[in-house]
Amino acid sequence: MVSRRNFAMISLIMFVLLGLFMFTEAAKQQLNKYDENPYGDVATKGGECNKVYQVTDSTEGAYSIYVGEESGILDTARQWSSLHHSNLVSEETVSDVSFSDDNKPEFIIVQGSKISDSDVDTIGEWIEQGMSIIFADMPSLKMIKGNDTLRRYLGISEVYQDEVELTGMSLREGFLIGGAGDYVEDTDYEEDMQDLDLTTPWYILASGTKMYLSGEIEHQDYIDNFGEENYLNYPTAFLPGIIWRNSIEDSRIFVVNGDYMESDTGIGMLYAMEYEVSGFQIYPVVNAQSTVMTAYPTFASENGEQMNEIYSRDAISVMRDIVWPALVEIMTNTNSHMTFMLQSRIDYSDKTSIDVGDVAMLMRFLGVQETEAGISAGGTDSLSSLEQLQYDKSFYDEYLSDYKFTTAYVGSNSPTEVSQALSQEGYTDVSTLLKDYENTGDILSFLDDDTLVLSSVNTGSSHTYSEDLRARSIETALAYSMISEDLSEVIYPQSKDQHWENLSKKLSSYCVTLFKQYDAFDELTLSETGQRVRDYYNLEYNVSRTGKVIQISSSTDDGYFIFRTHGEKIVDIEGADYTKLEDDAYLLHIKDQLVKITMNKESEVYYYEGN
Amino acid sequence: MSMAELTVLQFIGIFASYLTMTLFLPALLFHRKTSKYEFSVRFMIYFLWGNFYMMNVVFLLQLLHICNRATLILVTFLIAVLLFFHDRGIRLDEYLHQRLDLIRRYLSGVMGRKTLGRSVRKRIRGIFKLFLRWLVDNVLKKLFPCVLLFGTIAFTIYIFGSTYLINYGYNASDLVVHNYWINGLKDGKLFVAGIYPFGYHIVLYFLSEVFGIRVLTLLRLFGLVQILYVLLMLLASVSALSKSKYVTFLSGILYVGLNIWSVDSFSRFHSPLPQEYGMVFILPSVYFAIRYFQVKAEDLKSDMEKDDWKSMKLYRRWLISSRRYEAMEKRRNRTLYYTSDFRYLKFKDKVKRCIAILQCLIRRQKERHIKEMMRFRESSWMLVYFALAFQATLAVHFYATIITGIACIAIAIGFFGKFIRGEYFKVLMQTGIIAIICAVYPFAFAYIGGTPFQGSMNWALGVISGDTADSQNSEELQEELEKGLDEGDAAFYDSDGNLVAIMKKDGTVIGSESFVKQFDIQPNMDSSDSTQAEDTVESENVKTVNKSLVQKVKERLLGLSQKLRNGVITCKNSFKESIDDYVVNKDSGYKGIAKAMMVLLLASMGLSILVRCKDSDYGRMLTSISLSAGFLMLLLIAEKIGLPVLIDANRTRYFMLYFICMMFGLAVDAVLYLLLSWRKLIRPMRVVAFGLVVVTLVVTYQHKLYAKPYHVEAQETNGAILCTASILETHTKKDFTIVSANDEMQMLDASGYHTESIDLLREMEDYEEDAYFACPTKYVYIYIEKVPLDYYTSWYGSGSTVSEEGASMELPKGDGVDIYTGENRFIVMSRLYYWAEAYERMYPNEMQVFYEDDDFICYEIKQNTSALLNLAINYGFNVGEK
Repeated sequence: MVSRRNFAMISLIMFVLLGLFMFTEAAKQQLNKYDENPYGDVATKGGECNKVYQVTDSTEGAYSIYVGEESGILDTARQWSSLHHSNLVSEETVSDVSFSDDNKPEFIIVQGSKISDSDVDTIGEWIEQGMSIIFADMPSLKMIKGNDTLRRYLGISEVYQDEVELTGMSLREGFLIGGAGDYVEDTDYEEDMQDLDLTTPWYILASGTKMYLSGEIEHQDYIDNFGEENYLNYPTAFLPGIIWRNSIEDSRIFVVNGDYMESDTGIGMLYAMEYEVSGFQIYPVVNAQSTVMTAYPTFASENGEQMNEIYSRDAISVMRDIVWPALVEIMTNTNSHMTFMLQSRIDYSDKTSIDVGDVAMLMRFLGVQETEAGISAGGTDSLSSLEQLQYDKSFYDEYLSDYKFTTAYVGSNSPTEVSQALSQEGYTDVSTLLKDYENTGDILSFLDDDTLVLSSVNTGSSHTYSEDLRARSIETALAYSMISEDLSEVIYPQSKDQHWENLSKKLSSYCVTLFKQYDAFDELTLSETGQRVRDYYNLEYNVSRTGKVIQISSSTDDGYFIFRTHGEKIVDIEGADYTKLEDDAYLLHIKDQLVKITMNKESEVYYYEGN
Repeated sequence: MSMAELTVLQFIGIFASYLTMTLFLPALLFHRKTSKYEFSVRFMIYFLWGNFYMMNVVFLLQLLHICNRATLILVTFLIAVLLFFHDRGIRLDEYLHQRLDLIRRYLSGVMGRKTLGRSVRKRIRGIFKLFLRWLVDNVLKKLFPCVLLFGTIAFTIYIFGSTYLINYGYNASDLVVHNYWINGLKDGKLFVAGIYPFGYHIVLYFLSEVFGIRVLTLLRLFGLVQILYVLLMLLASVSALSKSKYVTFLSGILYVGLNIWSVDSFSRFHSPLPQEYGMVFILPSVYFAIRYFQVKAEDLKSDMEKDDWKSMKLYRRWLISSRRYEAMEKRRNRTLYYTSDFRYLKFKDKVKRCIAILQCLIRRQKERHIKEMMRFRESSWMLVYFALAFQATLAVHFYATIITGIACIAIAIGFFGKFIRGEYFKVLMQTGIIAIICAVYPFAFAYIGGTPFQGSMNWALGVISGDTADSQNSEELQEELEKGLDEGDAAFYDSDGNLVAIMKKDGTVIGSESFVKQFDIQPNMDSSDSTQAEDTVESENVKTVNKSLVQKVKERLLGLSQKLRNGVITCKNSFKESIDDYVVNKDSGYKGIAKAMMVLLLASMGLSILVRCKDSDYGRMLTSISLSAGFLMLLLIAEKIGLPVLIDANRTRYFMLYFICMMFGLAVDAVLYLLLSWRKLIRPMRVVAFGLVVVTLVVTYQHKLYAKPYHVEAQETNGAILCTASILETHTKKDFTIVSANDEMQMLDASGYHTESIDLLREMEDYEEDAYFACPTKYVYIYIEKVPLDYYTSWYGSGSTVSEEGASMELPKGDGVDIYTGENRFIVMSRLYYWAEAYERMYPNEMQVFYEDDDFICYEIKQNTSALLNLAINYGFNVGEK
């Protein structure tokens, strides 16, 4: 028998517990201002356009020379120069290039496919002067085979085969930030990722070279060609070269055997090459990684039949019960806050009504995870951006009238047109636009003083090897990544691959695993990333070194730099914090306009001579 | 931390670990059994047990292929703990039970914290009191000997250890080989290069494995521990044998304290080498052999007193009767039994039966008596320790065995009367055989297992079988003689009339060159004047060859007195010459050292005869030591006087000096004993001996006769050792390769890789595009001597800095260490220097200076292991004509 006193105590305890749990839940509900954008005031707009460095052909200050025709390589070089705050002189032929000994260019970027035998002597003169030369693509195979001197300059010992089918490629650590990368196809999974051009001439490198990206061949082929002893002792000595560096006295010659310099992938490689020819390297970066889900959430219970067939529930339930937990898991594993581009519905011809409860519920979910919501303005197959915005406006005005949208997704449309449409519909707070990746477009650009355009770099459900290389390159150059994924295919799947169970696997692995090496960089929403980009462009800096002390003087007291060394470590730092990214690479967060870094050698004698 | 500080700390660590195994641990186990001996004897006993244990436990575990750190620690310390408890009659399980019970009572609350604390404090106080008592008894009450002892040790460390603070490298070229053999032990390969006395290597391996000391450190610094123990054994043995004790410090002062002896007489002590390690066991074996005779006599004496002096007679009768018994056995007349038919035997048979019974009873009584005599007693322990010391010499180095053998011969002569008696001789032979078996059983097992002998062993076996250089020489001389000598040739005969050397008319000498040199004869090139040739007799020993004269000379030399006189003269001259060449410090300006030594020897012999009148055993001991010293003096001059050269003079001097200093101390002790022992009080002798020591010290100091610190040129640059020590300290993974000449090859102790400089240079010689050389580790360290060392060989350009001229010269050919000696080393380093310059220019970010001083530079190359850098480049001196 329970005494009255005990009964009273038990009851009291149960009521207290109930109250605590309910209070917590009620507080969460009450405090969750889902209809307010917590990142609405992050971005500061105005007057940024002129902060972007304008690349000219002036030879005053730091400059590089491009030799070749209009091509993707020139665009890459120009982008790099802009980010790098240096100028770019463009010449059509080798013989047009001239510079004085007092004012040498940082790099001479040569379109290798356009040089001729007569240019080799001039190149030899550059080498004698100790220049750093980049062959952004290869001269013709015939020319290489026929010209010993050119082969010597390129660091090619012999052209072993005119053509070889590689089994993959291998990126060496220390070149791009992010460590080594193996681009092989040992499994079915990896076969899907392989999209690199694996057919190449087999160049065996001479001494004085350093390999950055090599081709891989079958082990048995290696043994058959070079013997088992060489395979056991030197398994990488005779692999085909893809990207490498040759040294002739004080000159450095970089060679790119492929089209990597014709796209944004080349930007990071140029930074890496600059690092290779310098004792140390400090440059500002954006330090922002964002993940954007477009067409999520949508608020109409569409495509009910297919949803019931696949998931046994309606679209809203799919988003709530199946998609959202997976997204939360990704955010938890990456410690990130995603950005979601809202859309009232996917199929605007579907007239299914929208439940306000569903809107509140879905928006609350976003609020709980401290994510950001933006506007999808990329249009659909049947609607233009303007039409889509017009259609959604009523929805936003009715359900999210207080939500301050500062970001919008433009898809593959013209940012200018979308920006005009946004203004027209009253979305004047939108200051950051996200566009799909284009091979030749700028990663970061300003539309006008108030509007920044960011390019997606990778998609969430696709990660080929070329995309991985691109991602590494952009991370190296800018410490920036932008993953976007269109989740409309979840509600309207066209194939089994678009079923959520398959899509989420890819999302999870690409977002979590493949970017693990960049954990040191900040995971931000799109608005925050936009602000970081603005800060990046606002930053002016100067770097100097005296002995073991490196000094950075900056125009602002907040900014991020990547600091790469060769065999040195930071002993002391004033005015900034630092995080080690990998061997010889640090991320600096400056907190003062003057930063002093004291360095010392990584390896030094443990004992010293003396009594 | 500076290298000097590190060196000091490392030395303390090595010394402490060696003391643990050779003093503290054996003391813990054997103190009770040895407490009746004086400290110097106990010290030797503990030392022998410690070494015996280390050598044999490693041998056994290696033969069983289960030798590693864990098993060594387990076997060493576990057995020590078990023996410790067994010795004290405490059962280990009961002891543990008591301790655990204490903890249980505390944890269960039966015993409070205060009680536990009181119990622990009481225990600590007890241990502290024991320590204090020991301190008072062994140090404070013996303050003067302790002060002198520590002073001697400190002085020895000072004069021998100073060089280690200045030069960090190995001081002997063959340490690299010994390093390799010790590394072989670490890999579980006993006798990795062939069967060889491995005792020294095993001790170093044991210390390295159990105490975690690097082999590199041991080979750098163990030499100092070694010389300390050589000295301590000298002090211990003289102290144990002498009556006045303090004279031992006179021996020590003479040995290490004065600047009489040449630097070369101690040069080998700067490196831990097997021969010098074997030296440590010689004097203990001498002491225990002598002591056996002394103690055995006492044991037999007490037995005889007990048996009313009948025992020896009975023993001899038993010997006789046992021979008869054996004869009877052959005639099948062995049975002794009482049968019921006794009554029915004839009277004659009855008498015979009774006599047989009586004989049997007597025989049994004698057998019981013999058994009683043969039981394990004090002298038996002396034999055990002698066996331990003797087998250690055999296990460590044959030269030590040879010297011990010579000393044993001297002891046998000194104690001849006892030696030939059955009760001594038989047991001694058995002991010797057992000692040899204990030393050679690993060799036997290894040989049976298919391991061949190491090169040096084949030479040693050749010596044993008589195939010596001398015998080869004499064969050559005989052949030359049989061919017939030509006019103008000169033949040289020793005092025995034996042909020692032939000098051809063109000056070529066949045979003993040193023997020829002493006559200062010019070759007789002009042989046309036959009359001159016939009449020319330059000395009694040298004749220009005329066939008829040879015969006459030989006949004349056979005169005995002439022989003797000549022999003495030869010996005297040879000895003086050898002492001047090998032993005396020429810079000190001392003269007459050889004479002084001979006088000392003769005086010592004379004293030994005089002392015999008072104490025969003491006199015999002195005779033995004097004879030992005398034999070693003969050994020093063996080549010059035509005796078999067991050990060349260069090495003999080490042992000879050792014994002479011992002899000196004992001779002084004998004088004091003769003069002052008549009061039958030990004190006057000791006081006078102490006074002598003090006076010696004062005189030495005032006249600056003390030895100065030795400085030895290391065979490695300090920079190289510094870099190697730093690299080993900072690289815990096997991720580095050192490219250097040769010494670092074995120093790395499986912590990293080594590539020889010559391999790198040869790979890119006559450079072609397809040349490839890479080291597959993340870090590659290149050692370059900017001022190449004189690596055991000086050359005309010694001390030169690397230069383009050197780099232009042809790369040395061949293998082995010759590539890195003399001019070859200069060429290799010059080439490497310019290669490094060119390579650094190509890879300025990958290759950086790791360490640099005036003589040495070390580069560090950091590379990606999946994209190795090709080290073979065209550096300008490896293509085309130079």
